[in-house]
Amino acid sequence: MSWAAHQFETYAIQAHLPKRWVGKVSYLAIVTGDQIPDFVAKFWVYGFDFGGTHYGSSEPYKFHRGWPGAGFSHSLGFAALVALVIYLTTKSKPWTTGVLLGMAAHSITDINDTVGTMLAFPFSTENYSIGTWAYAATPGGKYLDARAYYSSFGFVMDALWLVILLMGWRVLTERYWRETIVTSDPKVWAWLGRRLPQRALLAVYRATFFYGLARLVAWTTWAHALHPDNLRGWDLTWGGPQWIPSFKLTTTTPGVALLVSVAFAAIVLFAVDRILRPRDVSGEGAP
Amino acid sequence: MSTPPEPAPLPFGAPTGRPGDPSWYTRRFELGLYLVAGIAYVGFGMFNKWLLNWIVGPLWLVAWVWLVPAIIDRVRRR
Repeated sequence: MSWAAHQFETYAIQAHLPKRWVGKVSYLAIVTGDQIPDFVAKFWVYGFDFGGTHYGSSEPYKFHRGWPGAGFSHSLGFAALVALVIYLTTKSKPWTTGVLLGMAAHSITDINDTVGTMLAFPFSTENYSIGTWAYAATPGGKYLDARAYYSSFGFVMDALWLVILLMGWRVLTERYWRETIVTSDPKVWAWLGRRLPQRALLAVYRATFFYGLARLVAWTTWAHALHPDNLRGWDLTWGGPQWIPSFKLTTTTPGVALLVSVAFAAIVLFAVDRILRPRDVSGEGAP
Repeated sequence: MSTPPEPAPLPFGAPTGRPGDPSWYTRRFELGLYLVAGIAYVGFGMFNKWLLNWIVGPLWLVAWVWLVPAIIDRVRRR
């Protein structure tokens, strides 16, 4: 799984939208879509303690990404279903396309860990992974997961997404927010604007970046400066860190995973383009 | 057809001019507010890790940017 990458990728998507899509895709929907896969799956992964008893999955990786389990949440089928429900209930193209892009980005980013994601569900329950770092959600809890992620190529992934985002830094400016973000989603921002002053609305827009950067700094500092562990330190090897069991659910190669994720992305981009394409209402060209 | 020139960005020390912002609230002050909010969040979060989640994190920034200027403004008016 990825940590701050899921926050940074939302701005990176926004910053690199094709020109014909700019102002037509809701940024808030991209953020919502990016949260949905883990919102559905994560609650039982780490579980919770109540009355001295721990409630949660005994095999978190299988529940999070497998089938049977909540692995369908990181898939093309689920992204399409959620987008369809949003379209049928709101008729909003900016929200339909934003959620689709956000869910796709999340599911593709997560093929980097050793468990991978079930991208082709419901057509296949195979997990696709390129195994860049070890999937680390275990009954050992969130702290062990954080230590493993921020000792591995997971840290590099977060940093890479941060660099990609900063290359399109204008996306964080007030002017961009006012001219592009608000205009693509005027109803929601107007609703928020009746409750918050403008400086707080701008902070709402920047809050995902703030949270991503803060969690990257906080967890890395915690793992390597505040509570360093000589047996569980940096390990920038492929599939690392090697000091944690590397869970796997995939039977395919990284090459296949890359091909499937490219196909997945192409289908999503094609669908978004079709949804956003203006309809010819003049009747010209009709038989 | 030529595109209209982009308006010059506001000086860093000038008031933001946004509706709802106090007259003393400048872009420089706002940047400082974001930095202090970030340092405080990281600092508290490292010792109270329950704060490091996707609900508290974004709300933390919004609360700082919304409430701190409002509180300062109220104190200054007394």
